[in-house]
Amino acid sequence: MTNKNQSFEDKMKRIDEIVVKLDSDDITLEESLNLYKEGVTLTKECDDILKNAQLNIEELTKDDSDGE
Amino acid sequence: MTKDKYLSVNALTTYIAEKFVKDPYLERVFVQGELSNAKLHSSGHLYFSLKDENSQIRGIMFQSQVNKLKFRPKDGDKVIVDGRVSVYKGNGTYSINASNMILDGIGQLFLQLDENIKLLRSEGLFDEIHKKPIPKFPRHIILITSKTSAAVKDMLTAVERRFPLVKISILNTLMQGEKSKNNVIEHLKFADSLNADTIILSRGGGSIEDLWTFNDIDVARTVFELNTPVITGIGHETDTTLVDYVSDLRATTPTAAIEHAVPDQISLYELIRNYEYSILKHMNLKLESKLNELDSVKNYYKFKNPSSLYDQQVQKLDHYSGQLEHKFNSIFTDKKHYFESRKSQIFNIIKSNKIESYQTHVNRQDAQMKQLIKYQSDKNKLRLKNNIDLLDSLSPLLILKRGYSYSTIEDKVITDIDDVSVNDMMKTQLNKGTVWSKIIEVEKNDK
Repeated sequence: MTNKNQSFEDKMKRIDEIVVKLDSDDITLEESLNLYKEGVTLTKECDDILKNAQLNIEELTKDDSDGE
Repeated sequence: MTKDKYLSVNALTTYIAEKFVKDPYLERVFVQGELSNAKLHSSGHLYFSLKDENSQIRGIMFQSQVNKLKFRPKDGDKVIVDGRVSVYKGNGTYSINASNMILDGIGQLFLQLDENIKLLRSEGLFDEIHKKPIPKFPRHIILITSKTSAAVKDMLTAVERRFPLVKISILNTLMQGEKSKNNVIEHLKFADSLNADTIILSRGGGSIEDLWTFNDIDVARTVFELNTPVITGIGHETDTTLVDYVSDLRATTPTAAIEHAVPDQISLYELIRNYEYSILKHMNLKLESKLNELDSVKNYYKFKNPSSLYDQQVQKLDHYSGQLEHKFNSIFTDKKHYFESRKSQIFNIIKSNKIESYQTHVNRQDAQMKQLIKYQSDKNKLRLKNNIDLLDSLSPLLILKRGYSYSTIEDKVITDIDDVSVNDMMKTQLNKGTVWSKIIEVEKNDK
């Protein structure tokens, strides 16, 4: 179901997919229950990711990187 | 003072006009100044004033020259005008009759910019089709800017406020001056090699000259060729540079560039809440619709009235069995009729033939038999009478009447002396009775 390594973007995309799928008529009740669970978990994870985010700033210099 | 000292206005103006015409310095002048009161007459002639801080001069450019201009003159333009000075006698003014007009300094730069814009547009570099989408949730953004600028501070503040999830790399770059162009080009290419999600090329406001790097055609072509989506945020809202046309997205300011580059976490939280709500809503709707489905199935009339499942069949059965009975009856009737008709045929045949003849035969036999029986019976009766008569004549009773008797021992008629033993009880039948005797002695006749 949910994957801790998924990026925030992937998770948001997945949630969007889930909403669209849940809205469609051609899924079974069981499928929709699974999607529901997954969706709720993902929204919590996204919340947590945003809450815990800390801006990461670095200064690049071209010469340093050339040396790599 | 005599009156002939006085010149007519026309004479004076004509004289002055002659002076202007004959003066070699005024035959062709190059004047620089700022345009004001520029007005294109419906005739196509351009009327204007040329001014500097202290003075101004009127000017006119005739339609044929106006049509050759590479720019549309407007108030405030710094221009260089090439022309001659002449007098217009009608209102006694002198003006510069411009044969050519070009933009001066920065104006010339803008003219060059216009040409570059036309060129790149004609090459299709501005076409929407080349605009790469800006990632919605970037993980890595590279800022090409001066690290000491106000722009960079604005941008970092905006990122921290909006979307601290992203990693920001700053490529400290010369954003103005002679070396700026190469430095910007180099850093753009380098940034493109780092596989970031977005590159932001940004500097704060400045003079037109300060921003000129970003009107450079080579810088613009470099921006166009990058594989990474580029957002430009150069100068103030009113400044549009050449790179703004070729970048994937033009932001009006550095802060606006960040606003385009990253989502706002407040709206993200809102979005997540909306998602939560939608998920819940859809789930509930789904459950509700499944429940409704179930209900409608439960209420399906065939389930509610199971007899409806077989009512039809029962009717059919009745119908068929009725048909069957009817068929059977009709067959039976047919057969019965057939049987009856055969039967009566047979009877008729029997009646007409055999039975009648047998009957007659039987009757005849019967009559014969009766006759015979009567005959036999009569005959026997007669014989019986005769026999009785005979018997009567032979009856022992008659013999007994004549004094004879017969004796029996144990119902056996005694005819021989050997039939009798001493002490036997002998029964003797006489005419009118019976005598019982006990044998005392037996004497046999001598031979």
